[in-house]
Amino acid sequence: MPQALKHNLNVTGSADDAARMEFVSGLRSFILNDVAASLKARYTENIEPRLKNEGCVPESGEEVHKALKSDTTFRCYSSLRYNAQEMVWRSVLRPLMNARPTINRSIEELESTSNHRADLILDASLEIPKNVSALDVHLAPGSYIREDPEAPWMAGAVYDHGLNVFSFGLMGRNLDDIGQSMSQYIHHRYPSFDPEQILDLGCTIGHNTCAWKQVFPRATVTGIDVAAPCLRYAHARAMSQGHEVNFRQMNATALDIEDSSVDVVFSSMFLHELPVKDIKKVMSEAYRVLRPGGLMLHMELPPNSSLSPFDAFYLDWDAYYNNEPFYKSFRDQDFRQLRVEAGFSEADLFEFTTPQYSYMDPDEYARSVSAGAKFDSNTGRLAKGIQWFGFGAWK
Amino acid sequence: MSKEQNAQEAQESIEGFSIDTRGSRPGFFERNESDILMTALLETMSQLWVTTSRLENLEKAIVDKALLSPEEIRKVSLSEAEQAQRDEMLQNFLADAFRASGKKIQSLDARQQAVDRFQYDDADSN
Repeated sequence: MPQALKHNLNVTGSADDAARMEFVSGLRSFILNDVAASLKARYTENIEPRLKNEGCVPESGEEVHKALKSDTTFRCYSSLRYNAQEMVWRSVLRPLMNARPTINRSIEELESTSNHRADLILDASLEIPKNVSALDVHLAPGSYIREDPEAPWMAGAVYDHGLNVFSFGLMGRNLDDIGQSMSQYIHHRYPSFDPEQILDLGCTIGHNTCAWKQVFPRATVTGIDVAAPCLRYAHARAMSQGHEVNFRQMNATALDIEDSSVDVVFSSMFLHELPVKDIKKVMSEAYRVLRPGGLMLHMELPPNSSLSPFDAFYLDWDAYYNNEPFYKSFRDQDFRQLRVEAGFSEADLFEFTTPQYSYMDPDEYARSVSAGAKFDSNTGRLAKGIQWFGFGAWK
Repeated sequence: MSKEQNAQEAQESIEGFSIDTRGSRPGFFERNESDILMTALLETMSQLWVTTSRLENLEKAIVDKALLSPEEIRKVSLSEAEQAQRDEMLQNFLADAFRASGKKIQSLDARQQAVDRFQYDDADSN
């Protein structure tokens, strides 16, 4: 269920607003756990056996999608999920619009009273790429670049509060479980690794960026994104939580950063929002800016080749119905080849799954890193028992 | 949707107060009406939850402030006249909700034919 966001920009709205957010969060949990289980059962118990008898068992997510399109269970699941996604944004937009003066005051106060020494550098001349501007990503009205009158941070606030409703309590107490789990994994798995410069690509509101600063406090941590409204919000959010993290408006496909100057290039849930040609540029740029011995790490959804046809279809749903058109084309890629083509050596590649750090005892988490979590059907799937998938390379 | 429409929507969405997603919505069901009804149903459920949740909060506040005990709230009784009024409200509510049930459903073609027939019969009678 939605939780109170742990910073001064938190908006709960009226009693009606709060109850509506609670409903939408609960609805999403019900759909992604119970209804999704019914959909899987419908496929494995009815549709797949029928197709088997007809001699045409689906071998890919695409074929499962085709087989399910006319099925009532699929239609109900999809309609529920699509509507719930719209309701996520609608439930937070109204209270945020009403709270514009309050948030503006909070930001002014933070800026005037904070001893914060981190930068926010925006680039008004930066061209916003089509994958961000041409459609409302995740069905969020205004996408990542929404700037309402008197609210130049609106897209960031919508993302933060929307993610809180969307994730029904599975993203950590500060919505940063991905950043926490990934940085903690690296810290535990490579205890002598002590990065000085950490870069987070496509950082949106910096929730996962700040986690790296917490785990590696000596490092200079910078989050970049093309969306100014998200960065304005990210900077204020980080200030409010006392994290000295820099934010710069920049396109990850053309980094304004010197060669061999960074120790960690990280991204979370970012690559699947890019066309394949841009993913290749991001990988090449990561290789260019990394110092020898540096780490590239992407937290992402697992590749289709690692999943059953049904599970591949299940994750590809978002490509077709959640305005994330590159979801499937990214996951159809050979992740090994993407890294090797960018310049990384085959011997330096790695992949891993990690349980959620936020909900575990630190010792238990350390043991799970040593043991190596096993890839399963909950990997990358937002539901009870979720695990995160990471892949990357050392330079 | 034309490029111009899309661009206009994008502009409104980014600069204004739109709470609508740009572009068309997928039709999951065979009939668009079913998609529309699903949206309306979920919104109604959402509002029902808001009401339930707020009522529960209100009762809790009354109990916490020691104005009434839970038992007293449960035992709130209506007079005979009030109860009759409440019963009537319930029957009206049910009749509203199930107004489509039991009614003869007419196809659009059949309806048009019936109206046309009525018009012609009416004309003939003049």
